[in-house]
Amino acid sequence: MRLFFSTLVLVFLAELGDKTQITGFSLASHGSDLGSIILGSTLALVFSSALAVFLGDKINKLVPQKLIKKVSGCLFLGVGAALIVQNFLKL
Amino acid sequence: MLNLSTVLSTFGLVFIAELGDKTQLAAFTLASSSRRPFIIFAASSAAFFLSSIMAAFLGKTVAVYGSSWSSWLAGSLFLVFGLVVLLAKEPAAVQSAFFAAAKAESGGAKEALKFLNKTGLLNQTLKEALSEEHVHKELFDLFLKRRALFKDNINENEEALNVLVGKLSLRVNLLKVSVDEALDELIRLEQAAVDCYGYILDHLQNNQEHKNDPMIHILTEMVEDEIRHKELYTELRARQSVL
Repeated sequence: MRLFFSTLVLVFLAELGDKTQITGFSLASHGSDLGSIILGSTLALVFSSALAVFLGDKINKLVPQKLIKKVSGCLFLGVGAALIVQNFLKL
Repeated sequence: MLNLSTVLSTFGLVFIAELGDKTQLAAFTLASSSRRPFIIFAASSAAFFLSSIMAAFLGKTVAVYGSSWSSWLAGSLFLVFGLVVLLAKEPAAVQSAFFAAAKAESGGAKEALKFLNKTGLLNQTLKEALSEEHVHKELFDLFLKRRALFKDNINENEEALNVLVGKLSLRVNLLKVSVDEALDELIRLEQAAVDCYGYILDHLQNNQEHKNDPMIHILTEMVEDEIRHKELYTELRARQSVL
């Protein structure tokens, strides 16, 4: 069980301040409900790590890194812009 | 209590962001070649759950105590992330090579084990050789820590490195060719790994700024391991041709 705990601590530390963690933090600070954020965020991380752990090397052929990065960047920009606009409309 | 659109949008944002994170993926791909991938998966999932809880509660605290500006926080942070992700420059050739090599480790070992098992050639020595747990665990830890991954380029010959990395994958299906051909391919692959890791290692060792890089230690072990694997396969091959 030492492997379990050392991995747990390591991954937790790796997540600290990670983009994905700050995403959850930001959405919560914006006002979305905690339960949904925790569920959505946990599922996303569990699912993506599952893909990597259980598919192993094959994941590189399935995941077009460059495309995903562009999609991710645009997604953040889009959501960010939407949230800012939402705030302006409330002013 | 649960808002479906929030669940889905959080899921979407985090999932896509995570898939685009090369370091994170590389770490978990390595975990797949561990002897107990399920423990790593379970522990990681627990860590993700705890980390999500922490983030959500911290965010809620900020919202409660700083409500006038906190609602601007999310939007601004996301805009910044979007720009960072889109504008970040490509990782250095050496960094990419290291990731590629580490990923090849997890894939190649599995295929080799399957082949050796099927042909009855698997013995204790080979079994131990193929699950060099210590190196994989160190690499896994290193990727998760992220700090030690260097960013510079090998100035002279990026192309040479790319060629070496290109040779790091299995070119045939080990189960569909003759035993001799399969063993030859495994020998070739081990040598390709020695060449590639050795090339990166040389760069690290000849560079003052990388003097204490933990990767020097890991790469040295990896080179030694691959040399040993190659010798084991060569021995096996020699015995095969006598039969």
